[in-house]
Amino acid sequence: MPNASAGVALLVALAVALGSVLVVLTGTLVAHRVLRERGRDAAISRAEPARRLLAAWATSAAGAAGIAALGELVAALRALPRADALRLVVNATSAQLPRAASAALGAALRDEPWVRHVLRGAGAHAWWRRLEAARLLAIVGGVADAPTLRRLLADPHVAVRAAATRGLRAAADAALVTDVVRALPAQPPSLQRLQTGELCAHPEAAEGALLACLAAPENAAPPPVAPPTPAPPVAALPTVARSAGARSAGALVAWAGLAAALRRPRAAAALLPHAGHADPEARAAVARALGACPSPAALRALGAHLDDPSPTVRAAAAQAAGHLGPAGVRLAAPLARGLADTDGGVRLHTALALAQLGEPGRAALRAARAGGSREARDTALFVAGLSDGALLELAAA
Amino acid sequence: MTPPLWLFELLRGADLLVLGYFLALNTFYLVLLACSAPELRQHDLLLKEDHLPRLLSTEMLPAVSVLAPAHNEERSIVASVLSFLTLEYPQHEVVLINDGSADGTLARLVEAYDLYEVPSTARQALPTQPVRAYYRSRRYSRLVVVDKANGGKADALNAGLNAARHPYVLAVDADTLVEPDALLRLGRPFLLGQEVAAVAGTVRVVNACEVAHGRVVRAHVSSRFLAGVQAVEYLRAYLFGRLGWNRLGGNLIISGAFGVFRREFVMAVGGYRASSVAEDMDLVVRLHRYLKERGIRAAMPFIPDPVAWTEVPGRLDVLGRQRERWQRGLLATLWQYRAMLCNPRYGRVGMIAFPFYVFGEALAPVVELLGWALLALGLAIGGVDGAFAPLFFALAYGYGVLLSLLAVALEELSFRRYASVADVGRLVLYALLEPLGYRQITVWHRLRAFVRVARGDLAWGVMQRDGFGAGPAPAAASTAPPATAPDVRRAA
Repeated sequence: MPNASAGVALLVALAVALGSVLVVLTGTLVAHRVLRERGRDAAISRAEPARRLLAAWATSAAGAAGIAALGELVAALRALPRADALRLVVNATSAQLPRAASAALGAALRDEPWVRHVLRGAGAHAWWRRLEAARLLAIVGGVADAPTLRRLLADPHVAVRAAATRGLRAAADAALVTDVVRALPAQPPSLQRLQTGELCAHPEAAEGALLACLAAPENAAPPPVAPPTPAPPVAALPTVARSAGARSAGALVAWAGLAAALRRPRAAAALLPHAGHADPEARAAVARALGACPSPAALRALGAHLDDPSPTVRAAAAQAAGHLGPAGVRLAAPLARGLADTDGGVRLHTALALAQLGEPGRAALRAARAGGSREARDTALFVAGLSDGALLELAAA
Repeated sequence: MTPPLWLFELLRGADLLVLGYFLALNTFYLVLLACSAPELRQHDLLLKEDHLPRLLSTEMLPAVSVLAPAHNEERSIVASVLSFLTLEYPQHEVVLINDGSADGTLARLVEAYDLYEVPSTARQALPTQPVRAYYRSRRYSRLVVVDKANGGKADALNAGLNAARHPYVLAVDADTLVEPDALLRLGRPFLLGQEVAAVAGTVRVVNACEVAHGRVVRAHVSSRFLAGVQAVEYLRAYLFGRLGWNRLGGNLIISGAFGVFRREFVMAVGGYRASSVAEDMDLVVRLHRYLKERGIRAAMPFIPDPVAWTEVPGRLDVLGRQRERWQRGLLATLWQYRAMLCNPRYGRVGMIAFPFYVFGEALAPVVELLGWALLALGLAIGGVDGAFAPLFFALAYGYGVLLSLLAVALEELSFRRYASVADVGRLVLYALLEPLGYRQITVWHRLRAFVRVARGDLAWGVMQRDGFGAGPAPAAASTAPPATAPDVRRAA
């Protein structure tokens, strides 16, 4: 039967091909492991001098010995393959080096050929090359690199934007800070939080930009901040920059988070007109920001938030009142009402806040333990039994 | 007597059907592999010079409650809790749920962590067996212990969900060894700005690994066949099975031993279903349904580099019970949510993932049995070509081994957790041996599951463990065995 024999021949061919693939694959796997281990040993010994110099630099960066060691370190890094040097520098500055030492190392490396090569990757098509550039720019960048940083902060890949955010501290000018503040609501929450932290390194510029954003009329962009020098054409930051004046709930949440981090009274005061925003998340964010910058007006607004229809806002207001400590003592009476709230989260944050307000708060808790509703009693008992560490941990969360 | 011609024709038709089935299935696995390679590459690139230590001092990651149900684990519970408390993460609490232990689990915790009882402030949003007491620790402010009547793992997790404060929960088995930075690594989707409903990590086999102070300090592949071959299974299931699904519409399974969930969504679907044999798969399928029906765009990605280590059965009888239970869970879940099958309303989950799990996973043992039966019939009536049959088997064997070796290759090219060349050699050896006996044993136990499901038997079995690390752990007889989800099945 010719068909059957042809079928068998085909199967034989397939079996031989598959068997060959399996043999090659098996051999490759084992050989790869053996060669890789040898290569790893070689790489470790190759990088060892630079690693040792980096460790020495980390401990003596501030002194004369550190300055001498820096030249050696830069030379040792230059001798390494580019990828090894990059990994060593990025890992060291992430985990070990104090900020000042990291900045000094960055300045010394800025004109190294391998550094310039990696930084040229900021315009590359491959996202991982842009990521490498962003990571290195965060270490070696200065204000002159603001245009490159701006491009990386507008990158479509979030990992690149996050890495570039680390460069804001050293490489941002006032115009870039303004743009970052305006674009803050367009970023994903994790990046918002990271950028908020880094913007705190530029409190004046960030506060100015924030005030402009909050004061701008609805659906209108805030007045642009002129860059200190004529800027070359660079990429625009993400979309919200065009409609930054629109105080949607999301925008207000982002900017209120920045105000809370900046802890500047003018920023908090600029939030007061938005304390009655229609969205509960926005009101809660405003309440948290007001708790970070106490003032008589902020206390009045927080008092109003304690009676908000939304439990999210009431809980946030109670938590913010607790963060005020003794400065929020005049909120003790409205807070005490929250011990009988219908929402468990509000009751818990209220009790935690009262425990932080000093004697008037503790008196309210004692009163709740002696009487009142069962929920109020249980919550007061719960907080009274907490260790100091648990109290602080719960109040912070 | 010569058999009638129609019987030969029928045999040929059935043969072609079985052949086509396994060809299609293995080809689909190759597609999964092709999808997993770029995913792995992306994670590898993101991992290079990662800023993991820096993340600890930022507020980029959401707060997480670690939920750890425990039942009769007095010997290991103190070390387990300590390993959860010392996870590297900016903000997390540990909610240990003592699920009606009959031994000294609670007493050990009270003593080791200086627990004190606190009144209940948690809302019982999910119904559970009665909670006896809540405890907090004077030594670790982030530790909460819920002591409740026994109700099984799902019930315990629901009690944990009620007590949890944070927006995300990590469900782990109390005897799972979670690597210190695993939770931090699970946060990658958050860092990438993804809207996330759940995140899955990798579960690996701890048998034969060197364990100290509740941590795996050096990973090895067991020299014992049964544990070693399961290491290959787990690699295959996670490295290209799960990872490939990231691009094909999402996983239907996130292991109950190691997965992060958005608490809001879990509460919205009613938490874990206590009556389910596979509570983890049941939850994930319900989450998919909930998100699709409400038009919520939230992903459930699998991240390959966060690792938790779990012990796998070292004895055939225990393995058999485990595989039979996994198969029952799979069947029950697929039946329960059968309306999602090939339903375009559920997008790629309904049109790709669900059909795959029905036809490629649940029914695979039946088709394999059919294949063996046809072979026997063919041999009996002289309908099998003497040259064709062995070659066909050689090819089927080779195709299966190829998939396993490619999984080992992915491991070698990416994470290389196993320490020595000997470990790689063992992985290769077990990949070669797996189809010769081991597979048939697991297929047999999976077929038993059909019988038990037909009888309406959906109870958990008993899971026997040998323990790991310093000193043997007790053989825990649990109503809620801390096993992984039905996730290492493979049809071919």
